[in-house]
Amino acid sequence: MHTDQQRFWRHSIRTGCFLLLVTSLLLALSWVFAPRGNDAGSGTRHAEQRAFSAERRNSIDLFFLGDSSAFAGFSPLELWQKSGIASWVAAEPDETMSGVETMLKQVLKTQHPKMIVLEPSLLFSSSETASRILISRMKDAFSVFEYHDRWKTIRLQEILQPQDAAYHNHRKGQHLYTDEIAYQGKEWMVPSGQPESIRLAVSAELRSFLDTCRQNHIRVVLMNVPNASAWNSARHDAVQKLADQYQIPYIDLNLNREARLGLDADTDFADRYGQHLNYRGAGKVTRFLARWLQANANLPDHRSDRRYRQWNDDNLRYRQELEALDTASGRN
Amino acid sequence: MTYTTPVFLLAFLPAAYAVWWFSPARFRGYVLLAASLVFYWFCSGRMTLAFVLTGLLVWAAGLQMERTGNAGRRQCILASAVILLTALLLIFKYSVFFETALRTVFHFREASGMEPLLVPAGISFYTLNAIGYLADLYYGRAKAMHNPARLLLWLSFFPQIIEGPFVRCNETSAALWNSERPDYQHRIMAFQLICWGLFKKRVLADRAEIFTRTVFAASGSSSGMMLLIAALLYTLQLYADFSGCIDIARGAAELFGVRLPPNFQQPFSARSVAEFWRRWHMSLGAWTRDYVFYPLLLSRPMQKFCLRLQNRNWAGLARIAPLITALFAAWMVTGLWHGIGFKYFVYGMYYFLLSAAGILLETPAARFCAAVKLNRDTPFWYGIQRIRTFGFVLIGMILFRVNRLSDYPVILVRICTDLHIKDLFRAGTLLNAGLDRGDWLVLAAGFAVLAAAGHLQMRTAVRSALARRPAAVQWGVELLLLLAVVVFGAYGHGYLPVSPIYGQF
Repeated sequence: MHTDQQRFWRHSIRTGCFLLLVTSLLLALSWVFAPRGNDAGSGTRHAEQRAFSAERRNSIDLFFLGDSSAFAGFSPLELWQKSGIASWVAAEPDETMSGVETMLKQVLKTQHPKMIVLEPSLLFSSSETASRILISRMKDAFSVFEYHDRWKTIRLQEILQPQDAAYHNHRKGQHLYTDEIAYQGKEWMVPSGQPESIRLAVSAELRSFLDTCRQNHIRVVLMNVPNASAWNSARHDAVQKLADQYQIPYIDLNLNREARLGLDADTDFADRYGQHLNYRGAGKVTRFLARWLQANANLPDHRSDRRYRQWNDDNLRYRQELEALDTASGRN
Repeated sequence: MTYTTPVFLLAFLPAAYAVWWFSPARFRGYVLLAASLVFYWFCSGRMTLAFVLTGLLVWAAGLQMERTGNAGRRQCILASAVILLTALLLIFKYSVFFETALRTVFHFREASGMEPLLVPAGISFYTLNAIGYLADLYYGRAKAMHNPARLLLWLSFFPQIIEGPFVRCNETSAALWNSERPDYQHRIMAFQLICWGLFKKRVLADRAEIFTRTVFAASGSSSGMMLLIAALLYTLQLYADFSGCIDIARGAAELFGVRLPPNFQQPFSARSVAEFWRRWHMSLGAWTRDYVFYPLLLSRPMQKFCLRLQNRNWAGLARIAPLITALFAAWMVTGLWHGIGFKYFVYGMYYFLLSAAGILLETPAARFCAAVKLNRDTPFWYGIQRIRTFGFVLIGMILFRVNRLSDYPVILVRICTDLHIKDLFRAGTLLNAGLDRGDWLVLAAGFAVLAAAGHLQMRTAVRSALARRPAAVQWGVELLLLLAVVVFGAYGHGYLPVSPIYGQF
């Protein structure tokens, strides 16, 4: 018996040492493979959306999170122009709820937003699986799982460089869709009998996300941008139920979109499936949001704040880009 | 949930193992059964019920066969059960195929609106295992399992339910039901096998998939050289994919003290097509041999048929005809087992023709070599035979991989007529089909490691030899494999998840 116990402890200690060694190696590899800069050239994924790390600490009051509908559908500088609210789009294509939570943790390292606008299309993403959730957690702990493929490009002198967040994104994370393609499909908000079910794993991730927001005193708003391809009444009903359950404001801009936004299906979408809004559609959505925020959220106006001078410069540059686009499309 | 997903490797397997480890010995069989059914539920949802009902049917048929002494009645039970199991397999697996075929025949423009049936996971594997079990009972090679839970566990054991290997009830049922905790060294060896399997699947097979998918999707516009490279890579990919998953399955089973039979034994060292199939998917080959080939060859009608031929002085035909007939049936089952559609029938027939030709030509070839005094027992001749066999396998693999059967002759013709090495280095070829220089380097190094390990395995049992080495060496190997998977694995951003190829059968 004595020998058995000794053997048990010996094997347990060996296994513990092995796990410790594996953990140390993963940490070391994470350090090696982590991009040294915050731009795409350094290997940072979705550098435009993640460039908030280059902004002054705790300077952004509102973050937009979600998938590609969100990064096409919100315009932080339109919001700045209309209300002076400092916001950022930290949404990524094919995002899932577990990915949003990872993003929130990234945001909280350098920023302390007062509000998050979550685009809820991702609650129905088929990409969200138990494995993906687990991978998200693994990426949180060891960035080598996110950046392992950098072995192809990494150089020795790069490893020895310190971290540097020098890349500044003047569009504040917005992905500017410039195409203008008419949506000619059917009306997508036809009333349905039953709400679509949200998978348990996704609900659990949403709950965890809301808990993190609550702990950090961040208000959450659910807001759908018009999306003919990924949205319908059954999904609206499901999100409405969730919003009632968690007592979160929910705005679905797929409903009454012509009256509320003045959305034109011929000119405001970037693809024929009505999946992504172009910059004009994004402007309309954001102008509606600016009015809603001014009426319902007490977020500060920083337009005359000297610390936000750069934002005014960025806005100027953004306006010039929009003007150039309008000129190119013959609108001016 | 497949064996290479993090949720299986980092959540399900450790949780099931912990519960099993700390359970009293008499409950471990039930714990394994519960874990297997939970795993099955994750894979197939409500189809778990269909699986359990099938298992209970097999259990009841087995008991009935044991209880009745009447040979005719036993035969009747066996035949009924086999027909029912085969019908279930056909209904679940081929429903979409039959619907498409009916629409084509009757020229329906629109789909019938019939929802395709959800196929129970591993149905091809557990159906053949179940038929094998009943056949073993019939021939008196096994005893019926009286406890339905024990039979269900043998059929559903989670490491083998998705991709096999096929096992006989005598091989694993006792070890499964009365599973004992393996000692430390065996746990380490099991872990090593899982790491090795993951390396093959995640680093090699999933990376090769990017290239083969791209080239075969554009087979109409790809050059002959690109198609040849894709075919070569697909052959290696399929080996890495299937044998990798089997290694993970065997490693996971060994953690629970159960030894599953190996399914591969250096198949590319085979010197004939028949030998290749004794080394590739060995458990399927053994199954068709034991439950299709020999039963048909030794069946009473076949014996009578031989006798009749002999009586008519056709002795040569009497010797060959039963062999060829049994071979035909075995290859037809092998082909159709692989999947839906005419392509798999042709695949089976391709190997039937090669095997039949091998049998028919063996004697004339031996005579010819003796006449020209050609020594066939030399390393050089063995090399020629290996290259020839690999060539035949390659042609079969292209058939196995093509998206449509009509693409097959086009690809073969292009490989034969449009083979220019310069095509590989032209812009828009080798480095523009999803893989860059780094990927090719990893593939080359990885397959070289695989070949070296296979070569070593032919000389000595590598796993046992490694177990005799100091702990530091064993740790080094495990860490190397794990880190290779983490760094060089084809997962994450830019990679599509690749399901195990044999998981779909």
